[in-house]
Amino acid sequence: MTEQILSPILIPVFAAGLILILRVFPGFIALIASAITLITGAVIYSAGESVAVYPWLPFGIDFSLKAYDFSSLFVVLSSFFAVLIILFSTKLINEKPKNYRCRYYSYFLVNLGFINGAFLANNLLVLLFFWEATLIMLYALVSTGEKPGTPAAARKAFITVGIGDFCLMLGVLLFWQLTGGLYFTKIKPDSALSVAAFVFFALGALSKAGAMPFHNWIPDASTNSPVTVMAYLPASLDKLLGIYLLTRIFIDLFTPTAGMGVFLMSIGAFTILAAVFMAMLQHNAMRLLSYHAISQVGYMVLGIGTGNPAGIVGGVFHMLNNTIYKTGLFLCSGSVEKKSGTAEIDKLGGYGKTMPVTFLSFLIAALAISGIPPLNGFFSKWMVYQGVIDSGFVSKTWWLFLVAAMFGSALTLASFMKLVHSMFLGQSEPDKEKSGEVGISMWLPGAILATLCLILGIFAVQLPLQKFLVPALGAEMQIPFNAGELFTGLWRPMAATGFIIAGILLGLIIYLLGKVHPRTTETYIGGEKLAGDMYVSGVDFYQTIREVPVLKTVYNYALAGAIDFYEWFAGIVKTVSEVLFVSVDRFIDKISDGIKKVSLNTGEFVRQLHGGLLSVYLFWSLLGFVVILLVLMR
Amino acid sequence: MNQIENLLQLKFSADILADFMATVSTGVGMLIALYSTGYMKKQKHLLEFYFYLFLFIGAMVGLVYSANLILMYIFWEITAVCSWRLIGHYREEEHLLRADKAFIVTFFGSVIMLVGFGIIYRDFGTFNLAELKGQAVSTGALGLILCGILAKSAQLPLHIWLPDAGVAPTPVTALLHAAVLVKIGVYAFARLFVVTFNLPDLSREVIGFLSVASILVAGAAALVENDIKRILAYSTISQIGYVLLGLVMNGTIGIAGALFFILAHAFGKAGLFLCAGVVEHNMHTKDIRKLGGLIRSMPVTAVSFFVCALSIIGVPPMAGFLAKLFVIKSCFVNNEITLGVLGITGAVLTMFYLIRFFNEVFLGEPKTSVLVHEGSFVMVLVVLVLAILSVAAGLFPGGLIDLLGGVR
Repeated sequence: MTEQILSPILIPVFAAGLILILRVFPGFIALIASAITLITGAVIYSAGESVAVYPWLPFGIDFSLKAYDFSSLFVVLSSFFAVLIILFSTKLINEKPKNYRCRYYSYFLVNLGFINGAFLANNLLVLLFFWEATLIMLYALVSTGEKPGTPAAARKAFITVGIGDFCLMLGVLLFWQLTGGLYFTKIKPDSALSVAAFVFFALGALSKAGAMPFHNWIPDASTNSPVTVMAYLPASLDKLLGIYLLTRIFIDLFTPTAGMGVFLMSIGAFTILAAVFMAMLQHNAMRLLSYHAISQVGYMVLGIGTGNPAGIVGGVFHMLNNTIYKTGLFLCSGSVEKKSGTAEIDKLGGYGKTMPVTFLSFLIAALAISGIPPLNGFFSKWMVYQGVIDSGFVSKTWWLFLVAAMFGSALTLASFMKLVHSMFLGQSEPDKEKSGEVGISMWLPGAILATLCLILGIFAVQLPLQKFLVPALGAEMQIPFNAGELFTGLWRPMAATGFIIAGILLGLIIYLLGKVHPRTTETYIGGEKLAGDMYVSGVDFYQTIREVPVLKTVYNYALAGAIDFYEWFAGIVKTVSEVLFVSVDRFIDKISDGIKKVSLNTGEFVRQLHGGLLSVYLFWSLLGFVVILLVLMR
Repeated sequence: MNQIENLLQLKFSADILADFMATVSTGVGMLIALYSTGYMKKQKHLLEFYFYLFLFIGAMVGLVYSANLILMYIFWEITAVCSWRLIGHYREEEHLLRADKAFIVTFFGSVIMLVGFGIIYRDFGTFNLAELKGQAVSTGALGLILCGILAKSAQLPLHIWLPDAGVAPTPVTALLHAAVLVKIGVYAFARLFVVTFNLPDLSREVIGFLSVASILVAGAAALVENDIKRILAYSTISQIGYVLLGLVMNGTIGIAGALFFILAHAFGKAGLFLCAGVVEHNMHTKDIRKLGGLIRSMPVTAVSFFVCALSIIGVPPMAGFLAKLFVIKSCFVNNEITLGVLGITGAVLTMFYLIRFFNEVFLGEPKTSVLVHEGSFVMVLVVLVLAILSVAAGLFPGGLIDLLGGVR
């Protein structure tokens, strides 16, 4: 049994090697390999807990892997998203040269292997090993975009996430120092060192999940790399990994304290609001989605930060939901981009008619991310709210976090209204050649994910929570769903769905029985018919938010890049480097030059004294004679 | 008479440390010599070039096996002469001045070191390393010997010669940085103050801070510079700081980490220099701002460079990761939390300048219309081998690290 544990790591990596060596059917091999990984992941999950230990390093450091409910669940999830996204890619990049495809798929697979390794790690050093190794594939995958801005975006991604990785390394080292071992053991953060260990662990996890202040690379990468990469890394796998670690920090490494909770909840609330405000203004579908990818992390961090069962389970559930709908949203937008050739939403419109499946999938996912019942996003947000309210016992500012979270949710809906309207509704795009649905391998992943949004929403308690998440999180995280002690205000999705369906049926009956006839007419504005060349975009309305007095100032700074934390940090590093270079390095160089000059000048002076002139030598002899006389006379 | 014989005894001895250093130096030296056959093709003074190249490697091997201080000093100065001639190989006015600078600075250090050896002889009456084992070295002798070590390993404040030595032919710079010259200093430190003498406690903090200063200042300088060889030279100064830091910390983990770092740095830095050499050989410029987009025309070189850079930064699964991790861990073991945190800061700095280098040179749009092609077969082969070794050493380090932890 224990040998199986290695397979979710090794299968993708070997398949990647196979692709690079054979260079035939890269997409097919990748799809098969990820599917096999998914199956082995499922086998490991169903087999229950198992531990495998291999000798690795001296100093008592073993290569220890452990599959248990929680870690193997994440292996299943990551492999599942890999399968869907690779399926989507087979069509998206099939026109690229073979070299490109081989590289692309092998990066995908290696990344999957490393991430599975990080999930299964039972030793903090093994975790760090796989965790940091994914950095390479992040850089490589972002680099597969072939746009002018790609190198800069890749560098930004590498350095931002790399800083987070080194934070995690520091956290692991501090933890190692505190406990004397590298295994997951729980400590109480009571000394300065242990609080520092917690903070650096949390920063590492947050940077992978893409929360602020580690978020700036995501929007840049979104416009400069393939949409599948965005769906794969920031939207699904990185989020899985970051939230996985954050949860384990709270459950397995540190006993939560109020201060830790407030620290995380503040980051979460700030991330939700700041990112969603930025999302409102974006003109590019990918950038808009990427800001939502950041904003949604806020909910997970907020939920886990509460430290109570409802919040933590809600946060993890929200992470699962978010990966589902965010991946779906990216993939559907990718389909539209593939058809239209652009992701600028000003230039899109009317694709709902020609791409019905994509439209429907996108709509469901958009409603899910906005938290509309009975979809999955609603339920997990509800649980996060519940967690925040329960956290009132530890933090008096809980209502601030609640307001931020709910307000953020409203703004999410607003910005998705804009996106749905601009891409799929609105006036039809004039170019008819670009219409038509994409191929099945491109619409199917989106449709599967949209269906999951529905299922996980309606059967939220029965299916994901009671079957998978709550048992996986262990004994401390039991939520009495039915007893009603903790969850007095629990949302009952089945009943609510019943009501919603009943409402829709009622409406239909009224519509069919009654004499309601909708009037159809041509589009007009203010009584005037629209000229054929006049185009109304869905974007302009949202620009009014920029005119609100306080927001206006903030936005102007934000759009000018003033809250780009990466630029801040890079600027500081560069300035400090220049100061060090000039004040220390060049200074020492100047000193050595000075010594050289002094010795050359001294040499020149002495040389002048030996000019070969008899009179000078006589003078020296005389001087010496006088000195000797003086000494002797004394 | 007996005493003089004892003084100048031609005695060699082998142990794990010496075997390890000799293997790394000759192994990487061999790869560099192989690369030279491609790089130096059809150039003048080849006879002299190869003579000094192999004399250099041979002197290094002699140095690591030397069993007494005087013999060590003699080989030490032979390498200085070799480096002096090799740096000035192209015989241009400026190159000769830079070669002089390198020679004078390292010689300045080694002469002071010789005085330190003298004090050791006064104190213990012998130059024989085996007889000196376990003795407590006086602070004065330690300080004087340290001057020689810092000058040879190009550590602050005696590092200024190394960036200027970049005028040498690329195989020579690779040799200086990766295989022989700068490793001599840290080897001597390991030989004298880890294996032989007991280090005074106070010196741990002082030398530790000195090496962290090297890590940070040289890392900062590497971020500011634009010349490919100067960036890599500052990078060497910075990375050798980690080796020194690990050795100073003096625990099993620190020593194992530092010696493993010597290996990782030898592979990684040789790879980086030789890749840079391929670029320079083909593009005839050393300014990273004038380069770009080379990954398309020289993919193998680019990927090898990237792998070696990751190893130097300390990203798993490359060798540099474990080495750096253990070195920093050893700071924590000695409760030097500040040094450990500064060490990680240095790693972040490394990431900044090496990724900047890779981005500017290999990604983006080509900035010249020169028809670019991959380097010659043997050159590309060597850089590829170094990249593979960097990964392999990182994937299967267990036995070696165990061995290196027990050099004492």
